[in-house]
Amino acid sequence: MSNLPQIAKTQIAKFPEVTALVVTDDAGSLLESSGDIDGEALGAVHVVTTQALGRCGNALGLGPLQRVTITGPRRACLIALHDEEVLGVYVDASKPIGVFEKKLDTALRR
Amino acid sequence: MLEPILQSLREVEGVQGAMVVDPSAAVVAHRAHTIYDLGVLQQVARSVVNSADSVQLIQDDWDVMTAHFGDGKLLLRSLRTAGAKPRRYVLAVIADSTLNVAFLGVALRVAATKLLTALETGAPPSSVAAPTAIATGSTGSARIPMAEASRPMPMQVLEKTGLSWAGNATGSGSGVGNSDVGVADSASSTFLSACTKALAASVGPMAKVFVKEGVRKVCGERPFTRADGPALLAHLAAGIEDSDDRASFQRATRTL
Repeated sequence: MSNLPQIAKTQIAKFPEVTALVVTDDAGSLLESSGDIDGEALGAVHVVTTQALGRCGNALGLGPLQRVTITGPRRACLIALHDEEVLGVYVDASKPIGVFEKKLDTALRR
Repeated sequence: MLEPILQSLREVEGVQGAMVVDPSAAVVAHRAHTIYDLGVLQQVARSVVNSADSVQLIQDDWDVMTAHFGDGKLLLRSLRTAGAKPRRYVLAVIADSTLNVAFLGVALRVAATKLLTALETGAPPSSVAAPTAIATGSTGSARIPMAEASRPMPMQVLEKTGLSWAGNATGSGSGVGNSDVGVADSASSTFLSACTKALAASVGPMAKVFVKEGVRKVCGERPFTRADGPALLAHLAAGIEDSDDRASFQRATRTL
């Protein structure tokens, strides 16, 4: 197991634009969550979503899925695959998601 | 009529293909590099609809979903038609690693506006092909394919962590993800937990999400009561596509 739950808890959850996060393994089991969310339900949805998108990537020859961003008027969500774990981060939709993606990349590279 | 709009997306550097998918996973229109033939696009369309259906459960107002892969990107743009019979189509754009997402963003907004206008004015769903043509024999149903979406995942979450439901009437609309459903009393809460565990045997950890959605459908804004149990069970059973799984669920919940 990677140290993703620890990184999520000690670093990513402290980014000002983060409203909630959830870490699951690739089977959907909850490893860590933070913020006012139903972590186990959201984590399961994240895994199912990444599995479906992974199938798209396989069919199209786009290589392995690395991350997914989902934007809408009320919130934005970034789902990152890290080793065999899935991190879902909810951020304030009014903040630019691109900037946050770079911060997240930096945090996950450590 | 839709194809010229998709062709405009194809002209953005890095874009290898674009297609419009309807809620039943049929490819309504497409323009793509020849390596992406219709068979491949139909296969992708099914997974696109599965991912959109999943995200819909936690964020019903999503606009754009961008999947970053090692060698390219897949962008999904939600197209919700207005009118008497609103439908949700998905515009999918396939791109290689040279794509400039900012450039595509502009083209995507323009294309989405034009596509919505065309779809709302009844232009053509000249449905290229129905999803039933796919080798796996999917029914292409517009509803959430519970078993198909979740079967690959073992049922670990619910067994490990147990379940909890809000103890007072806090039912809220779907798409929030963090919203609990309200229950009238502890017996109702126990019923929902047992119901979720029974459903998890068929659909895995997505069971809790489906039960919450079911409660919202059956009860609306009011708290769930034990008297709503039969309606909820019928709703959940109807959503299980596999007949064996459905029978197992019905057996497991018969004594609740």
